[in-house]
Amino acid sequence: MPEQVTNYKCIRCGGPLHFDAKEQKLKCEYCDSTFTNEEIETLYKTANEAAIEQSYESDHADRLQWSAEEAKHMRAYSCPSCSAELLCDENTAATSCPYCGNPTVVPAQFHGALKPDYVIPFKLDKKDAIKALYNFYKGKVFLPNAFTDGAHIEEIKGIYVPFWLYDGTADSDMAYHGTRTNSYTSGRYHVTETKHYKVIRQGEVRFKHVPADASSKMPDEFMDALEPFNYVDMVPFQMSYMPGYLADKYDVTAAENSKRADVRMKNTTLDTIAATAHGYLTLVPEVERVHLSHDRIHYAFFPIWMLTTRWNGESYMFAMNGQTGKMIGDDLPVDRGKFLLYFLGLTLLFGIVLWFLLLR
Amino acid sequence: MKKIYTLFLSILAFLFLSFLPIEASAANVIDHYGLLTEQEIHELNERAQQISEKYNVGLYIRIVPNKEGKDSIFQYAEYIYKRDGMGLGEEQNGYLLTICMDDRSYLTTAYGSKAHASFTDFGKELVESDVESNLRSGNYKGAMDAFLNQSEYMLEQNELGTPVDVPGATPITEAELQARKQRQRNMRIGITAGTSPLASLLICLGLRRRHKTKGLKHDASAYIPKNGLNLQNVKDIYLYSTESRTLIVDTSSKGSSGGGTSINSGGFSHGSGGHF
Repeated sequence: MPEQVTNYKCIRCGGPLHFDAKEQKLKCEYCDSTFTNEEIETLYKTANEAAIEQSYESDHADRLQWSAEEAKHMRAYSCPSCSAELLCDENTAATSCPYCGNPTVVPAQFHGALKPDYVIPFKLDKKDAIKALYNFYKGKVFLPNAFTDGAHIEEIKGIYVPFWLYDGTADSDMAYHGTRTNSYTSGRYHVTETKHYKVIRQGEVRFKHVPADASSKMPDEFMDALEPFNYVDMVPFQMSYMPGYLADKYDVTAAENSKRADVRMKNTTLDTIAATAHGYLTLVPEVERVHLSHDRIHYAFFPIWMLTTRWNGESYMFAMNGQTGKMIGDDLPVDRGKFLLYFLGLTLLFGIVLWFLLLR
Repeated sequence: MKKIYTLFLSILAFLFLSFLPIEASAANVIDHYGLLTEQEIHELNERAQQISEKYNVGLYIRIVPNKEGKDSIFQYAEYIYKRDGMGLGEEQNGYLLTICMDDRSYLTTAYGSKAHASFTDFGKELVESDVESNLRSGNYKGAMDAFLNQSEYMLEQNELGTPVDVPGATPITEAELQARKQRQRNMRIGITAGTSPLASLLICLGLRRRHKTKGLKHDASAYIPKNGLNLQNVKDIYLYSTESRTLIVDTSSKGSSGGGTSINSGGFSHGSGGHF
């Protein structure tokens, strides 16, 4: 059941093209020619449509060769460059051929309801990601020296991760008990006067593009921590941004994911409305009603660099926002000896300083 | 490593400066209000210096137009004592008369173990009584003279081993003073031993937190567009008021009516003070 895939090839020399994050263009790996996304999209549009039709027809016939379980989770395609027949995950949308290394896109994963509305193209490349990882180690004083020296990067890959973006409105009805105090001296008395108020706030808070990753393979803790993405760079989706990177289509539906976005919107509504009650020393909520409604849901691809290192037999995963360069990772190991040394040293220093301060 | 060396050197420099002796260079008599003539101030200064040097307890008079924002004359007296570097010797022994002209209040304040021993609560009442009667009659120079004369008498009595105190009260003995010093030392050890490890642990845990970077987001404030908040009903309705009163004198340094000297946590002892 080989599916039709697309290799974007150089118009001049036929070499494979990949999306260059620095130049924001498709670039030939051999002759360094560059092409805009629009040029390549126009050229390949007709060819792709014909190929997809052919792919769907042949897919039905070939499926008989696979068991139902296998067919459910795997897809096969033929590399247009070296003709190797390759297997990959059912959600794979962009990858590279492990035999010839050509960047490859599976157009069927981007059609119909699967087509993302937006994409934020990669702005930072592999070198930036490696540099960011070593900078990430800096300032972590309890990191074992052997970790920095010995943990080598095992794998590094640029991935377009699918995200759902939720637009919504939160209608709120809040009431608080607030207090304001005024202190003054009267004769030989220190007087504190406390005024009590009922504080009422009703209104709505609108949200635009609250993200939640739509891939079950990507840990939510990683994807959330990589925010924020700058939506100024977000453009309508084009397949020509994909070559050179991996991409999966979503495998968590918008409905399944909406709970994550809803919790965030509700928490923020409570905080935002409470922040409009100014000048109160205390503000105790008495009524907190929030009703959320989704306006629109968008499907988008965001750029992430994933890096894996290994140290002491354990694997450590890191991720970098491919647009902003923000780096996060697994919890780093702590050198207990260093921790104890710092603790004792600081205790001694504080002890000496405090002793002399109290003497004065 | 460079940062650690810098921190270490900074602490050494701090400790070196801490060891330098503090010279008490505060003037004995200062009149910011103009209650006394230049000649009177000169005379009072000479006499105050003489007594101060003789007993190694500084005597100070400050006449000021206001309390510079402090809530009470008690707080103000303690503030200027430290700020102006009053007191003699390692313990900064001294006795200060503060006169505040905005509310016509006055107060005497002692600091240091020798000053506390010399100026008991009862003794300070006697000094203040004499000062107040002169102030009320408008004899300002007389009030200052009374302060110095009474102070000299108290210091002299303390030197003789019979400090002025309530009749029948046991004077503060050297042993009691030593016991007080021991208590202060113990308190210092307790604070140092308790606070230093705690502060270090908090810093170390803070540094360790840098090793954890992943985590779920719980808010979406970054995704509220401009003008995304629209309030339709905003009401702040006043309900009622409550009031609490605290006696200032009780929270300052007023001690018991028995003998001895009541010293507050800042190391000061005060008279009752009052208005004229």
